[in-house]
Amino acid sequence: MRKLILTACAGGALAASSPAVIAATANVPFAGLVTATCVLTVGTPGVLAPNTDFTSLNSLAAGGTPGSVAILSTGASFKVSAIAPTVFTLAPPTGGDNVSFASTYQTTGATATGTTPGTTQTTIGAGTTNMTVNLAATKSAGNFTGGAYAAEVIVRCE
Amino acid sequence: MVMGLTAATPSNAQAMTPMRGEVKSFSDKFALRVFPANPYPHRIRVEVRVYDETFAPIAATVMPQAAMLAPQDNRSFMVVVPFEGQTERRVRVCTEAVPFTDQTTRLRTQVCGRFIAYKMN
Repeated sequence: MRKLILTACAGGALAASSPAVIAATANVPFAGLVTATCVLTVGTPGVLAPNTDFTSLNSLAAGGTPGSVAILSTGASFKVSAIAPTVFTLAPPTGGDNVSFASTYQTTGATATGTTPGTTQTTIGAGTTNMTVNLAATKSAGNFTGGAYAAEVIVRCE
Repeated sequence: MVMGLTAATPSNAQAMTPMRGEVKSFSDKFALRVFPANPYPHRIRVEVRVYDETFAPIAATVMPQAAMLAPQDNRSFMVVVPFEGQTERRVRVCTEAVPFTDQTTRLRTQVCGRFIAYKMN
Protein backbone atom coordinates (compact mmCIF):
# COMPACT_ATOMS: atom_id res chain seq x y z
CA MET A 1 0.00 0.00 0.00
CA ARG A 2 2.84 2.41 0.95
CA LYS A 3 4.63 1.56 -2.32
CA LEU A 4 1.47 2.35 -4.24
CA ILE A 5 1.14 5.82 -2.64
CA LEU A 6 4.80 6.64 -3.27
CA THR A 7 4.42 5.62 -6.90
CA ALA A 8 1.33 7.76 -7.27
CA CYS A 9 3.11 10.78 -5.74
CA ALA A 10 6.11 10.34 -7.97
CA GLY A 11 3.86 10.08 -10.98
CA GLY A 12 2.05 13.29 -9.98
CA ALA A 13 5.34 15.15 -9.58
CA LEU A 14 6.46 14.03 -12.99
CA ALA A 15 3.20 15.15 -14.53
CA ALA A 16 3.45 18.58 -12.88
CA SER A 17 6.95 19.22 -14.23
CA SER A 18 6.21 17.86 -17.62
CA PRO A 19 6.56 20.32 -20.53
CA ALA A 20 3.51 18.79 -22.08
CA VAL A 21 1.24 20.83 -19.73
CA ILE A 22 -0.33 23.69 -21.71
CA ALA A 23 -0.59 27.07 -19.94
CA ALA A 24 -3.39 29.43 -20.86
CA THR A 25 -2.78 33.18 -20.85
CA ALA A 26 -5.12 36.08 -21.23
CA ASN A 27 -4.72 39.83 -21.32
CA VAL A 28 -6.70 41.84 -18.79
CA PRO A 29 -7.37 45.29 -20.21
CA PHE A 30 -7.31 48.38 -17.99
CA ALA A 31 -8.65 51.75 -19.04
CA GLY A 32 -8.35 55.11 -17.36
CA LEU A 33 -9.41 58.65 -18.01
CA VAL A 34 -7.74 61.79 -16.71
CA THR A 35 -10.02 64.71 -17.28
CA ALA A 36 -8.55 68.16 -17.86
CA THR A 37 -8.81 69.98 -14.58
CA CYS A 38 -7.13 72.42 -12.30
CA VAL A 39 -6.24 71.78 -8.66
CA LEU A 40 -5.53 74.74 -6.42
CA THR A 41 -3.77 73.99 -3.15
CA VAL A 42 -3.03 76.87 -0.81
CA GLY A 43 0.39 76.43 0.75
CA THR A 44 0.48 79.44 3.02
CA PRO A 45 -1.93 82.34 3.36
CA GLY A 46 -0.32 85.76 3.45
CA VAL A 47 0.37 88.25 6.19
CA LEU A 48 -0.10 92.00 5.80
CA ALA A 49 2.25 94.37 7.59
CA PRO A 50 1.97 98.15 7.98
CA ASN A 51 4.44 100.67 6.62
CA THR A 52 6.05 103.22 8.91
CA ASP A 53 3.30 105.84 8.64
CA PHE A 54 0.45 103.31 8.72
CA THR A 55 -1.04 104.35 5.40
CA SER A 56 -0.46 100.98 3.80
CA LEU A 57 -0.78 97.33 4.71
CA ASN A 58 1.34 95.26 2.39
CA SER A 59 2.51 91.68 2.27
CA LEU A 60 5.77 92.96 0.77
CA ALA A 61 6.45 95.22 3.77
CA ALA A 62 8.82 94.18 6.54
CA GLY A 63 7.00 91.59 8.61
CA GLY A 64 4.61 90.67 5.85
CA THR A 65 4.59 87.44 3.90
CA PRO A 66 3.09 86.56 0.54
CA GLY A 67 0.56 83.81 0.05
CA SER A 68 1.43 80.75 -1.97
CA VAL A 69 -0.68 78.44 -4.06
CA ALA A 70 0.29 75.31 -5.95
CA ILE A 71 -1.61 74.93 -9.21
CA LEU A 72 -1.74 71.51 -10.77
CA SER A 73 -3.15 71.51 -14.27
CA THR A 74 -3.87 68.42 -16.33
CA GLY A 75 -4.85 70.53 -19.32
CA ALA A 76 -3.07 73.23 -21.26
CA SER A 77 -5.80 75.81 -21.67
CA PHE A 78 -6.58 76.99 -18.17
CA LYS A 79 -6.04 80.56 -17.07
CA VAL A 80 -5.20 81.80 -13.60
CA SER A 81 -5.51 85.17 -11.93
CA ALA A 82 -5.46 86.60 -8.39
CA ILE A 83 -8.33 89.00 -7.84
CA ALA A 84 -7.87 91.64 -5.14
CA PRO A 85 -10.70 92.26 -2.69
CA THR A 86 -12.69 95.48 -2.60
CA VAL A 87 -13.21 95.50 1.16
CA PHE A 88 -11.66 93.96 4.24
CA THR A 89 -13.42 90.91 5.59
CA LEU A 90 -12.30 92.02 9.03
CA ALA A 91 -11.38 95.54 10.14
CA PRO A 92 -11.90 97.82 13.11
CA PRO A 93 -14.41 100.71 12.76
CA THR A 94 -13.24 103.21 10.09
CA GLY A 95 -10.27 100.92 9.39
CA GLY A 96 -11.65 100.05 5.98
CA ASP A 97 -12.50 103.62 4.94
CA ASN A 98 -10.74 105.16 1.92
CA VAL A 99 -8.87 101.95 1.16
CA SER A 100 -7.94 100.61 -2.24
CA PHE A 101 -6.53 97.15 -2.85
CA ALA A 102 -4.06 95.85 -5.40
CA SER A 103 -2.82 92.31 -5.87
CA THR A 104 0.08 90.92 -7.85
CA TYR A 105 1.39 87.44 -8.49
CA GLN A 106 4.42 85.61 -9.80
CA THR A 107 4.60 82.05 -11.02
CA THR A 108 7.35 79.48 -11.27
CA GLY A 109 7.41 75.84 -12.32
CA ALA A 110 5.48 74.64 -15.36
CA THR A 111 4.64 78.23 -16.21
CA ALA A 112 6.92 81.09 -15.17
CA THR A 113 5.96 84.74 -15.11
CA GLY A 114 7.40 87.87 -13.59
CA THR A 115 5.40 90.13 -11.31
CA THR A 116 1.96 90.34 -12.88
CA PRO A 117 -1.09 92.43 -11.92
CA GLY A 118 -3.65 90.21 -10.21
CA THR A 119 -6.40 90.86 -12.73
CA THR A 120 -4.22 89.73 -15.63
CA GLN A 121 -4.97 86.19 -16.70
CA THR A 122 -2.04 83.87 -17.38
CA THR A 123 -2.49 80.70 -19.39
CA ILE A 124 -0.77 77.86 -17.57
CA GLY A 125 0.66 74.76 -19.11
CA ALA A 126 0.15 71.22 -17.93
CA GLY A 127 2.04 70.40 -14.76
CA THR A 128 2.56 72.13 -11.45
CA THR A 129 2.87 75.89 -11.32
CA ASN A 130 3.67 77.63 -8.05
CA MET A 131 2.06 81.01 -7.55
CA THR A 132 3.17 83.66 -5.07
CA VAL A 133 0.49 86.22 -4.28
CA ASN A 134 0.98 89.67 -2.78
CA LEU A 135 -1.62 92.13 -1.61
CA ALA A 136 -1.44 95.82 -0.77
CA ALA A 137 -4.13 97.89 0.92
CA THR A 138 -3.55 101.62 0.70
CA LYS A 139 -5.35 104.45 2.47
CA SER A 140 -5.96 107.53 0.34
CA ALA A 141 -6.80 109.51 3.47
CA GLY A 142 -5.99 108.90 7.12
CA ASN A 143 -4.14 106.00 8.72
CA PHE A 144 -4.91 102.43 9.61
CA THR A 145 -6.16 102.36 13.17
CA GLY A 146 -5.18 99.63 15.60
CA GLY A 147 -7.03 96.35 15.33
CA ALA A 148 -7.21 93.14 13.38
CA TYR A 149 -7.50 93.23 9.61
CA ALA A 150 -8.19 90.47 7.14
CA ALA A 151 -8.72 90.48 3.40
CA GLU A 152 -9.41 87.77 0.87
CA VAL A 153 -7.67 87.39 -2.48
CA ILE A 154 -9.45 85.13 -4.96
CA VAL A 155 -7.07 82.84 -6.82
CA ARG A 156 -9.04 81.74 -9.84
CA CYS A 157 -8.40 78.98 -12.33
CA GLU A 158 -10.82 78.70 -15.24
CA MET B 1 -37.50 67.61 -19.03
CA VAL B 2 -34.13 68.85 -17.89
CA MET B 3 -31.11 67.44 -19.62
CA GLY B 4 -27.82 67.33 -17.88
CA LEU B 5 -24.16 66.68 -18.18
CA THR B 6 -22.42 64.25 -15.92
CA ALA B 7 -18.71 64.02 -15.40
CA ALA B 8 -16.65 60.95 -15.96
CA THR B 9 -15.79 59.10 -12.78
CA PRO B 10 -13.89 61.65 -10.70
CA SER B 11 -10.63 60.79 -9.06
CA ASN B 12 -9.18 62.18 -5.88
CA ALA B 13 -7.27 65.45 -5.66
CA GLN B 14 -9.24 67.11 -8.39
CA ALA B 15 -10.68 70.43 -7.38
CA MET B 16 -13.58 70.19 -9.77
CA THR B 17 -14.56 68.14 -12.78
CA PRO B 18 -15.61 68.68 -15.47
CA MET B 19 -14.31 72.14 -16.34
CA ARG B 20 -15.76 72.33 -19.83
CA GLY B 21 -19.09 71.11 -21.12
CA GLU B 22 -21.97 71.50 -23.50
CA VAL B 23 -25.59 70.79 -22.62
CA LYS B 24 -28.74 70.47 -24.73
CA SER B 25 -32.08 70.84 -22.99
CA PHE B 26 -35.71 70.58 -24.08
CA SER B 27 -36.82 72.47 -20.99
CA ASP B 28 -36.55 76.08 -19.92
CA LYS B 29 -33.80 74.97 -17.55
CA PHE B 30 -30.67 72.88 -17.86
CA ALA B 31 -28.80 70.82 -15.33
CA LEU B 32 -25.15 70.13 -14.66
CA ARG B 33 -23.43 67.84 -12.24
CA VAL B 34 -19.99 68.81 -11.00
CA PHE B 35 -17.63 67.06 -8.63
CA PRO B 36 -15.62 69.31 -6.29
CA ALA B 37 -12.76 67.57 -4.52
CA ASN B 38 -10.65 68.30 -1.48
CA PRO B 39 -6.92 67.90 -2.13
CA TYR B 40 -5.96 68.95 1.42
CA PRO B 41 -5.09 66.67 4.33
CA HIS B 42 -7.78 68.36 6.41
CA ARG B 43 -11.47 68.76 5.80
CA ILE B 44 -12.68 71.93 4.11
CA ARG B 45 -15.97 73.60 3.38
CA VAL B 46 -16.65 74.05 -0.32
CA GLU B 47 -19.36 76.09 -1.97
CA VAL B 48 -20.58 75.94 -5.53
CA ARG B 49 -21.64 79.19 -7.15
CA VAL B 50 -22.88 80.03 -10.61
CA TYR B 51 -21.87 83.11 -12.59
CA ASP B 52 -22.40 84.46 -16.08
CA GLU B 53 -19.58 85.30 -18.48
CA THR B 54 -18.78 88.52 -16.64
CA PHE B 55 -18.77 86.82 -13.24
CA ALA B 56 -22.10 88.33 -12.25
CA PRO B 57 -23.97 85.88 -10.00
CA ILE B 58 -26.82 83.93 -11.60
CA ALA B 59 -29.99 82.82 -9.84
CA ALA B 60 -29.41 79.09 -10.12
CA THR B 61 -30.35 76.19 -7.91
CA VAL B 62 -27.36 74.37 -6.42
CA MET B 63 -27.90 71.20 -4.41
CA PRO B 64 -26.29 71.24 -1.94
CA GLN B 65 -25.01 74.82 -1.96
CA ALA B 66 -22.16 73.99 0.42
CA ALA B 67 -20.69 70.89 1.95
CA MET B 68 -17.84 69.74 4.15
CA LEU B 69 -15.42 67.53 2.27
CA ALA B 70 -13.18 65.07 4.02
CA PRO B 71 -9.49 64.90 3.04
CA GLN B 72 -9.03 63.57 -0.50
CA ASP B 73 -12.79 63.22 -0.84
CA ASN B 74 -15.15 64.48 -3.49
CA ARG B 75 -18.88 64.62 -3.94
CA SER B 76 -21.37 65.64 -6.57
CA PHE B 77 -23.26 68.90 -6.69
CA MET B 78 -26.31 69.35 -8.91
CA VAL B 79 -26.72 72.72 -10.61
CA VAL B 80 -29.96 73.76 -12.34
CA VAL B 81 -29.86 76.97 -14.36
CA PRO B 82 -32.83 78.68 -16.03
CA PHE B 83 -32.46 79.86 -19.62
CA GLU B 84 -34.34 83.08 -18.71
CA GLY B 85 -35.74 83.44 -22.22
CA GLN B 86 -32.46 82.80 -24.00
CA THR B 87 -31.84 79.93 -26.41
CA GLU B 88 -28.15 79.72 -25.56
CA ARG B 89 -26.57 80.37 -22.20
CA ARG B 90 -22.95 80.42 -21.16
CA VAL B 91 -22.27 80.01 -17.48
CA ARG B 92 -19.38 79.50 -15.12
CA VAL B 93 -19.82 77.05 -12.30
CA CYS B 94 -17.24 77.67 -9.61
CA THR B 95 -16.10 75.63 -6.64
CA GLU B 96 -14.90 77.94 -3.91
CA ALA B 97 -13.10 77.32 -0.65
CA VAL B 98 -11.10 79.20 1.95
CA PRO B 99 -8.80 76.53 3.37
CA PHE B 100 -7.07 78.77 5.93
CA THR B 101 -9.19 81.38 7.69
CA ASP B 102 -6.86 82.55 10.44
CA GLN B 103 -4.49 84.85 8.54
CA THR B 104 -4.68 88.49 7.47
CA THR B 105 -4.52 87.66 3.78
CA ARG B 106 -6.83 84.79 3.10
CA LEU B 107 -6.66 83.07 -0.24
CA ARG B 108 -10.02 82.02 -1.63
CA THR B 109 -9.52 79.40 -4.27
CA GLN B 110 -11.98 79.42 -7.10
CA VAL B 111 -11.96 76.72 -9.75
CA CYS B 112 -14.42 77.56 -12.48
CA GLY B 113 -15.80 75.38 -15.23
CA ARG B 114 -17.20 76.95 -18.38
CA PHE B 115 -20.40 75.49 -19.75
CA ILE B 116 -22.60 76.32 -22.70
CA ALA B 117 -26.25 75.25 -22.86
CA TYR B 118 -28.58 75.19 -25.84
CA LYS B 119 -32.34 75.19 -25.57
CA MET B 120 -33.89 72.74 -28.04
CA ASN B 121 -37.43 73.23 -29.32
